[in-house]
Amino acid sequence: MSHLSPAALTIVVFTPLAAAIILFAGIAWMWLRRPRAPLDAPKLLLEWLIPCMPEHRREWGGAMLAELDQVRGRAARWRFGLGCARTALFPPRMREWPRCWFFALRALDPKCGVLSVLLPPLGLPLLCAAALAAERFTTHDDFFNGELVPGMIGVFIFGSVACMLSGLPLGLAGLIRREQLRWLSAIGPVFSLLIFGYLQLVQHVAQQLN
Amino acid sequence: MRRRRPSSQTVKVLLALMTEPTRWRYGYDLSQETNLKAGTMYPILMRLADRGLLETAWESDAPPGRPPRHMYRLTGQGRALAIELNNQAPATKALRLRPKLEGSL
Repeated sequence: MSHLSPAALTIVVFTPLAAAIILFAGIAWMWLRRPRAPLDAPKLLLEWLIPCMPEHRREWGGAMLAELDQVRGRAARWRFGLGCARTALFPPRMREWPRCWFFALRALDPKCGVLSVLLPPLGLPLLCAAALAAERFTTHDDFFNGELVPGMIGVFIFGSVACMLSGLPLGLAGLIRREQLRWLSAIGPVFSLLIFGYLQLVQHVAQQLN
Repeated sequence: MRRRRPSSQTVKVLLALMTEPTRWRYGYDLSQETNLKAGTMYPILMRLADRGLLETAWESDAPPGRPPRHMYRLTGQGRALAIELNNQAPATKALRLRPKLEGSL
């Protein structure tokens, strides 16, 4: 892979991730096109974040939500809503921030099926970073610290393989949990296998070009 | 506990509340009046309430079809601080507070 030009390398590394993002964009587009009541996005945002606030601040969250009801005009509602969202995520006491962020992430409830499709393509940028670091480390004596870099490369490789293989257990978990969009959980493991096949193909093509 | 001098935005909120100290005020109206964004104003209100400078209450007679609003006004301590800050402000920026209220703490 290191024989490829930077532009070609970027395309190769990020194509599977782009494919996954396009897939999710398509799902979001189809969902938004369904006939439904108009979305009140600022209100939804606050309704998501307010339960994440610490107990003693939740009354303020309710206050902000009630006040949003008074705001008219889309732009004004977004400005007000985003300001309140910032307050919910960054309450006055700094030590409360990690707790708010943790509960906000947990409330998102990321589905296993979604992760089974999203994580495998993330392995490629990590693998690319490991390959580039290894090439630079072996050809330049002054590349950072001689002990630190092999450790970093190892972490990148481990992370990369873990991401690429994650489609299998996550897809299975999504099927067992009977999540919505079960077909995503089914294609997750296939995605993992495809990523390895894709790597082989890229390696083969790069060798042929050289 | 050592208290830092309030920020200019906090002073703005205190002085806005002090223009009519006995009247309950709403969050959005205060935000419009002080020209402060919600993300700046609400943390200020929270801190003022934590320090006993602001009292809060929910509307008891909300019209049907909308949730009750949260209301705010300064406590006695809050009014004293607002007057002190107003007296420290340059003459051009100080509010003309109603005379009968200046001593009523």
